[in-house]
Amino acid sequence: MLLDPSVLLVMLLGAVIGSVAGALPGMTTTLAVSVTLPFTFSMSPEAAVAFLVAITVGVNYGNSIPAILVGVPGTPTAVLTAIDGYKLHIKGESGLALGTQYFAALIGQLISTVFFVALVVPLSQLLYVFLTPELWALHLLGLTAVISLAGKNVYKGLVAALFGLAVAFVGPDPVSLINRFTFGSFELRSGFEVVPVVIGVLAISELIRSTRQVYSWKEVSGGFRGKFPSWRHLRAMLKPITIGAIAGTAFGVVPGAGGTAGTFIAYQQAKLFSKHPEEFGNGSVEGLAANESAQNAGQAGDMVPTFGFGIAGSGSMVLLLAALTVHGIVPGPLLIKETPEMLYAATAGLIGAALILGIIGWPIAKALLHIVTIDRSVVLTIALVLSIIGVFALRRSTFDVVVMMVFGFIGYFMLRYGYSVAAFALAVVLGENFEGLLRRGLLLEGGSGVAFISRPITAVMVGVSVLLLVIGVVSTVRATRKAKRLAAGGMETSPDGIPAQISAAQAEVAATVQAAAETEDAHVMTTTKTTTTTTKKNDEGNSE
Amino acid sequence: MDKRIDVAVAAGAAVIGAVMLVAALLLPEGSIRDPLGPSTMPAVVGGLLIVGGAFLALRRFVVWRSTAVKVPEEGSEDLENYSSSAPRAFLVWGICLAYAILIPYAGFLILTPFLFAGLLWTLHFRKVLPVVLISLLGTAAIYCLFNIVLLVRLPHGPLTGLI
Repeated sequence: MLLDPSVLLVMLLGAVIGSVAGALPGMTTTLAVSVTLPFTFSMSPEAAVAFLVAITVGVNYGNSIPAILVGVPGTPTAVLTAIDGYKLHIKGESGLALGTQYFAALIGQLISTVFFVALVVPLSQLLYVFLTPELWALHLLGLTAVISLAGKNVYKGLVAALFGLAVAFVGPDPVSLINRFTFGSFELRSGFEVVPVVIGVLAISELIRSTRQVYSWKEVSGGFRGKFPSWRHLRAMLKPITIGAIAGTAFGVVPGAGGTAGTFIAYQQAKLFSKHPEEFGNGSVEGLAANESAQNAGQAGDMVPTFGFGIAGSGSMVLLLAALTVHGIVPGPLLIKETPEMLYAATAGLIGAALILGIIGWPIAKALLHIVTIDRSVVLTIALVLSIIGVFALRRSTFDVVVMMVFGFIGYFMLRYGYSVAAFALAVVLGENFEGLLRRGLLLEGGSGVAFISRPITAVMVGVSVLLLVIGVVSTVRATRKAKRLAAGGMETSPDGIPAQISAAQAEVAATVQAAAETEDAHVMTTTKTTTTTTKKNDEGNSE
Repeated sequence: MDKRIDVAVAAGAAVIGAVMLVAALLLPEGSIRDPLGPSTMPAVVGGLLIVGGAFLALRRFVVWRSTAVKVPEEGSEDLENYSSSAPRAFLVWGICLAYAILIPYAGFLILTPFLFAGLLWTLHFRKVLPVVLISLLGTAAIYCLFNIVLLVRLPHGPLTGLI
């Protein structure tokens, strides 16, 4: 099927359309698929499936490029890319950021495709095991990633997450459907749409904050290096990529879990296993790799319940099933058995789109990098305009754009005063389902909460969540106290704890000696670069 | 950062918590009853927001007299050696908000060039010919991309029926 010219052509089209659509803020996978769905009616069923799957792969690839170059995530799953990737870009390491995104997306996609093909039947059995208590525990595990995103002040990070939960509670109650916290507003009767809130607080806030100062990027970073990472860098990414691919595929399998939860969990796990956890949130290559791998792997996981049971795990999969129905194919548990060519077409779409993006993805990214370096004011203007129009395009709603701008304003103060916008965004995305699953689970269990801790999978996930929360709070508080002690002693610190009063040369030597004790060369280069640029700029991680 | 604004932000969080707590306690039960009800989780979150916001505000009050107005940064800092202007940031925000409110009435094709020009001028990109070209070409490109390629109808305002 991969060699059929008509299928190849539609996969190429799908990958390109998906990449362009994904790069537009607010243009979600569901919207991109819904816009192109009518074109599939004249195609063969195999070509239609391959085309739509290629679009979803393209969206997951394309949404990260503006996240890295402008700090604007194309979709909520690229939130963490906008944090670490953009920081790397601002430091001048654009090639490293884009290359990491490119490599991690491809490898994550290919690994997850192998899982999909080999395990679509066994993995679909997870659906029998993942009931409401397990889904709730999964969301709890995702919410504990808040601690990894809390930033310098863990208390402010927790307050930001609580604020995110408060926003998620606006709208219909998940059980009784009564309106909550709408204060008589007609538009708020269905609650806040997630995309405008997330893009507002993450992207618009950063764009507005960026307009405080006017300068050229070349003056600050000395130019953007567009060189593809070396093999040593790529080798260092393999561990977080593998973590991301497994987490993304596994959580993608669970209907309704959402790709965003998988990316946050993969990010958190990669940080736990990293030798340089302090870099996460400040331009971590490992964090970027784990997130990109997870968000691209989630696509294959998403297709497991769709093809295994005929149960769509996301909006784009609903549309895929609709396309199958139009072609006279009945979705359901017998789909693979009766029409195995649909599985082959989906696999071809995943692999084909990945290979096509493997060829054209890097040139596209480099071309966009050249465009972005033209003039900072022009880029900020275009990013703002595209964000506004992209969010408007979601539901053709002016209210969504106003919501985005309001949360952009709130996010501006959160950014300036140390409240983690990433923690807020995570809580908004997971908060509504978190409460709904808990309460519906209690109803199903007859009011008893015992099932939430007695079922094996649930008990393990709750235990891990509590442990991660405690470890995260303790380690963050310790790191903050250490920094304060050093500051009180007259020494400022860089993000990796080396006093800034040490001359640039000494700091470089200290970091090199520290890093030379480790086995992977990639960290030597990254740590040295971080320390050197930090002593130049005084707080690299927080500067524009 | 300014400790007064830091306190104001923390107090704002506490106020949001208080509003949420009060509103949650006034919620009706609903026809479907579950052990927690519609009030419990919002009340818990509201209460925690009050505690968190009050804590963050009080830590400043405790050492108010012994600290300067400017305290160590806890958020994103501006770059050194370049002047910063909060009014410019708020002006950019205001221009975008005004655009969002006016676009259903004025239409995309009429209003967007002014949005481009206004933002570029505010961000000190003041070469007249490039501003005009970017405004017109940018508007046309976005219109083609969304209206023609992606089939997302943008508002036409007074041009409705003519296009």
